[in-house]
Amino acid sequence: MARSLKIVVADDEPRMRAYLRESLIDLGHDVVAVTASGPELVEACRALRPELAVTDVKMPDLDGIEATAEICRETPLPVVLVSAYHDQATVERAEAAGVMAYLVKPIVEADLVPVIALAIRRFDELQALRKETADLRQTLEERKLIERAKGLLMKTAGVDEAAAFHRLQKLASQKSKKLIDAARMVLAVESVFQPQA
Amino acid sequence: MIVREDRSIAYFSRFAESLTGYSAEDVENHDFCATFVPPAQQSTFAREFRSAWEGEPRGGFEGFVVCRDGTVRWMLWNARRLEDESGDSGVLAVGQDITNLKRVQDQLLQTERLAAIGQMVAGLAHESRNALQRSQACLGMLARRIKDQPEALEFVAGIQQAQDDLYRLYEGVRGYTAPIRLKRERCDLGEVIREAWSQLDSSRRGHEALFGEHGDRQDLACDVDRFAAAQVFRNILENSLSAARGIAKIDITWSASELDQVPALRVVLGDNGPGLNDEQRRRIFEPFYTTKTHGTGLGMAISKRIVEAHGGRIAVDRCQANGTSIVIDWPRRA
Repeated sequence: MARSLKIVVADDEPRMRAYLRESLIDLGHDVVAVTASGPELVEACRALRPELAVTDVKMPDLDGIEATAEICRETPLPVVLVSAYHDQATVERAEAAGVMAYLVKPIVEADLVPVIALAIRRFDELQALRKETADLRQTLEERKLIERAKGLLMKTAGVDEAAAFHRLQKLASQKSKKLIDAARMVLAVESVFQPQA
Repeated sequence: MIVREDRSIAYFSRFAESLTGYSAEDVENHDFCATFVPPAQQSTFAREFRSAWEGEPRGGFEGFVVCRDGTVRWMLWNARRLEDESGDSGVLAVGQDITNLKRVQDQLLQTERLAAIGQMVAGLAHESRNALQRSQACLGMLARRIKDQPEALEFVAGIQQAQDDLYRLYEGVRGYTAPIRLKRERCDLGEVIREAWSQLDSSRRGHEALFGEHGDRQDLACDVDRFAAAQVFRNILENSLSAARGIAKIDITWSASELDQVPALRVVLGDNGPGLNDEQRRRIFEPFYTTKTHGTGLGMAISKRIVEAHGGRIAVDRCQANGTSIVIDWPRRA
């Protein structure tokens, strides 16, 4: 049995809402909200923080793809589209909005199983990669600052690189700060001595 | 040609010889109507000839001629009476072969017709998907509520089957009428056919089937759209499998051929099924013609469209005594 997920469902067709709800419960999931329009879907995702959304495309006010884009702008969420349409324009819009999976109606309960499993898996991987990229970017930024602070120390104190690095470490441990914070302090002090523009 | 009052041929040109396959000697002094004109058109031809003979030039009437090898050409005729100095007279009939022109016109018309139907069907298929989904939703929920009533569940299964058939039909028509866009690349058709065969594993469902290849398998490369060609093979093989009684035996025979002087590759797909009767043979490529309970009747029609979009030809082999053989000529180059 796959992991049980908190899911929000959206379709403007009452029977389809009921069917999706029953099928997802049957598959062991927790359907936390059943909605009938784009705005309701966005609101439900905002309020309930589900782990997955399953939505129709053609709905009143805001369609499923526009709703997906809006939801993901705030908090990324794996979204499975279920639509009678699969023309190129719709598929391209879905791609751009960050949709994780696309099913063409008519669907049966069994169609949902692999699609949900893959959407969740790919989404998790994507999130992990996003986090890794963000971490790496931060590390890189910090490295640059430390290098700059080191360079400054070498110039003003007339010491070599190893000694400059040692001073920075010493400052950090004295103030019980991280190395990056010590570097920021050095650079902040330096900026005070700069001639004003 | 020049024709006398009694409709016997007085002169038969070189062009007429090469077109019909008859030599002047063969046909001179024979009744042109009886020799060349198919029975259904003979009275029309006789009437046109009479008018020309009576001094009224006839221009631009169309009709068929039957060549020596039995092929039929579509001709555009102009005819008028000729008198020479000696007082002999006859009708000069000049025929222009417009078979190719007619063929192109037909294809254009067919393409236009399909495009118009295609647009309609695409819209219909979308809307039908929504309706089918509603139906599917209700069926799914109904089945869940009557889990303990096997007899009622059988009815649900019946509706489900009918609904699946309807869905396949809609999608089939959509596929048939959608414009064909080929992405042609150099492919080994032997590979394509074996791929198609392996894709049919599920429809064999444990039925025993033998698959053999014969003929010159040196060079099976052609410029085709791989997916489209595989679809053609799959449709034909699927028919063979469903027609088979007992162990299905499929024989693939390769040979070099020509299509209007263009090098082509011929593949014959033969089976050991019950074969086709005259009607089936005549109508096999007609859309919606099917002998299967759950068939859409579109498989062979789509196959013909695909082969012809490649500039190829597909036909039922007439020489085959047992089973059914489909012959396809694929042009080697795009």
